[in-house]
Amino acid sequence: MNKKIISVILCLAIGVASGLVGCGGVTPSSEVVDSTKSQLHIGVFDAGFGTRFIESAAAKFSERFKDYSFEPGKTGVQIHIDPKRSYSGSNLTSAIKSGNNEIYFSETVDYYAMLSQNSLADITDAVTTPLSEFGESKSIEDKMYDQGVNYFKSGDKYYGIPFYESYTGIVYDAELFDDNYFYLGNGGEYVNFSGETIDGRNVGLTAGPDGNSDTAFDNGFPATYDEFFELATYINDCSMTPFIWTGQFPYYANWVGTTLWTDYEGEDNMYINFNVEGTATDLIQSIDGSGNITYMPETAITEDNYYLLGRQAGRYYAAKFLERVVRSGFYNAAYSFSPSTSQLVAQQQFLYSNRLNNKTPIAMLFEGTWWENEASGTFREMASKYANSSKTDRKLGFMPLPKATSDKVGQKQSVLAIGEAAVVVSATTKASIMGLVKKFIQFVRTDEMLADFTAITSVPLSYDYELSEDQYNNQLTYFGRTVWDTKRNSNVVYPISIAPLYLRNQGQKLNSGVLWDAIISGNAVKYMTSYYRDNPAATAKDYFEGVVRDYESTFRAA
Amino acid sequence: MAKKGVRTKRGIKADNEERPNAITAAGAKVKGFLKDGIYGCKVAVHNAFSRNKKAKATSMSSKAKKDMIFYVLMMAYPVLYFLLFYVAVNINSLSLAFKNYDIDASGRHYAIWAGFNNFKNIFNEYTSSTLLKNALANSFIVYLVGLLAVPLGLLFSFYIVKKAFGHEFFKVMLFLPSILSSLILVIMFKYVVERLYPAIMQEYFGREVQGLLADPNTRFGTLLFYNIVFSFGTSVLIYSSAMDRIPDPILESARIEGVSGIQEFWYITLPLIFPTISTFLIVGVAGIFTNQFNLFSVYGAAPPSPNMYTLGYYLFAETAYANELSYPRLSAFGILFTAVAVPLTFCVRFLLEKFSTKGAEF
Repeated sequence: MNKKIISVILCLAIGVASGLVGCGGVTPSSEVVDSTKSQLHIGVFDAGFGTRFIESAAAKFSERFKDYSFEPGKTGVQIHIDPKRSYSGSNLTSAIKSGNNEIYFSETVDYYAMLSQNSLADITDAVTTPLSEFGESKSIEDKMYDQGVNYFKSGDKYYGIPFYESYTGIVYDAELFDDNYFYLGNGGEYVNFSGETIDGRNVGLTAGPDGNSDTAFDNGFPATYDEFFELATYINDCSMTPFIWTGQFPYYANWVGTTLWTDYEGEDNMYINFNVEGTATDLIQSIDGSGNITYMPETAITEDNYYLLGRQAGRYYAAKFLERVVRSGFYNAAYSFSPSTSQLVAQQQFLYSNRLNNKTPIAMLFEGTWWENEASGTFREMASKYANSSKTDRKLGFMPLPKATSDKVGQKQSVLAIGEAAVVVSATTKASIMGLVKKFIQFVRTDEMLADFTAITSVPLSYDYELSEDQYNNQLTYFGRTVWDTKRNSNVVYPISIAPLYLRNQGQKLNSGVLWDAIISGNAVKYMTSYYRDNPAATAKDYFEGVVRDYESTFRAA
Repeated sequence: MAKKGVRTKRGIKADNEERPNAITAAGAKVKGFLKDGIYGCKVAVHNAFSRNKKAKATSMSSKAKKDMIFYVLMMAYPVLYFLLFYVAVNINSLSLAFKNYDIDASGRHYAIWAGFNNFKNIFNEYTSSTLLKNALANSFIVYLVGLLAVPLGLLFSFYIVKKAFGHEFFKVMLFLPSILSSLILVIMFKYVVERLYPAIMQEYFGREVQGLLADPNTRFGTLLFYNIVFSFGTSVLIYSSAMDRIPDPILESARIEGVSGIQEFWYITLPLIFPTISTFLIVGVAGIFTNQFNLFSVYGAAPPSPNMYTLGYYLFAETAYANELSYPRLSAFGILFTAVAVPLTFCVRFLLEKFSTKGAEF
């Protein structure tokens, strides 16, 4: 009998354990539930941004509403944060209905798939009502960009709202640039950040890619690809390593290509990729052996000829840029192609290289704007060992990107906000706490909390808001300021739309993290840098033609 | 002359030998008749006994009731689990393969009947895609190289069973990888081939080399090596257990006959553990289409080149990052793999069983 009892107990234990594994968002066992307060559960995609931003928001909200009753017999609110790596993409689509969380802060959200499954709650009044309770006249909807409104408004209703906006590109070590005179000065000389040459003459910084000296954010940076690679050669000649990127995730290097492509195309041409309508102005007909390009006439794009967008010239130039990166050999060879180099390892190498005497300094890292928050552990570790090495002390910046050709210099920078991040509310939310949920949604979209998020993560949200001078200068890190400068000085393209072709391919071919699939010699190729490295004779023309082939194969039949 | 079967302990065995004379044939008939008669009696007694039991069951004692409750409690969870996560999932997969999803004007998904379109598209994809052909080839390469590891596993097992020098050490070392998390193993392996190896080459040979998993010329071979070496543990443990079960008298009499170690391995051990070997081979065939070759463990979602894919990895990666709209295609893929794998597995099983009848059982 004893055996039987033990068997039953084991069986039940397994059952209960399995049940718990299957459930998402239960109150963490370490947290004591205060039954006198309303309970709010928030699921957060636990990745680059961590949870500090939501913990800060939760603490401020709890404090503000500590005497407020959201439910009969309860006063105040207790908020439980449930961070998980699985709260994104199709995992969240599957998990949201069975999860215990009411609100999710997530990315690569397939909003319309969730709507199709009736997994989301209607939060229209929270989005459209002015935030007067918080001393503001605008509603969340008023702060959203048009692309966000069009995407999240299904019929007349909102079931979700935008979350963060991340850009990808090149992170540079501003300290290294300054100390070693890696900025470009007028007269073709290399200067420090103050515009002084090594021999002390102040020649001033160049106007940068936007060709305008009044916009200081890009002054002194290479205006064209040619200038950029001249700088890389100079850095290399100074016995430093120009570039590093993660070898484990080769799509990080692709993302640099995505940003360059976006910048080349500009807002209008780039939006055609997602809205599936508009006139494409720079489709490439062919490229001859010498690299001379023949363009197609301007073409109105519809679903029927969407495949032609694989021919956008920006793609070719971006592919060319990465070809030059690989062919130059100006990268950290031990790490940039090694599967043991995660993005965290690449960040460590980059950060430590300018502090350890036995390391060759690395000038630039291919990354996304979330990286600084992701590298918080490395910053803390370094701060305990070296002077001026904390996150707030280090001077690291998000580089304004150079233009492919000199005729593009002067054009306003365009960047793609990758991630398809959203905040959604589960349809399983109890009616009794719906008021609380909506209040929290409104609270985290007040100007104060938008700025708070940016101050904590160095990344902006997909809303139109401002930072005060004090917030900009005193709350943001050096990196955060350069990211904010990017937002303020760029046309930001949001890769979301309700075009059926886009929605059919959202999580796949038109996921902003992908976009570089190619078919070369019948093979599916995904990563430009790996392709160039594996095939020494391969060129950007080959990759570009591979993308054209892939687009025809994927979209022509559609 | 018609061939007759003779009932043996292990079933019906074909008897190709012609009977020498009619007397023998008649004797055999009588014997068979008696045997069948005795068997029939046994069945009748059994049935009667069972009926009796059934009658008793109608007035179940409290102990029997408790036993039944215990049985139901114990079985409910696994049965429910099986029904939900195997039967229902597979029925859903099957139905998905014949559907497609599209988007309506409001952006919501709806399902439509697709007939065999998903299967047709996969055939088209296969004929036009080098990736799938490479993946198929790689899947078979991984299996075949795995086959080459079988003799090695057998030899190691024999070495351990024979208690040769250092056998305990080898036993522990070979099995150790099996008790460590695969993630830990992969991380250690990556650091050895990606950090230690280049450092050694630089330090001692003055050569700047890439890591073995980063170098396009060595990465596939390195992964094959990893797959063989780190799958040794389980096979060695099972082979050596099977070898341990060979009755001592057989081995002793062989030794008295002057059989050498190699002869013992070849003529006694190998035939006697053949059922275990064949089980491994059959399971391996069934896994050709699902083996992800540790690609995900080593490279995650981003292997540097599609030339390394296996079909198992391809299907896994496509599914892991798929959305609802792509599930029908992937379901059709899975069904096609099953359609190929099932007959192939049965074919290999049939061949091995045919071959294994020459061996003995103990």
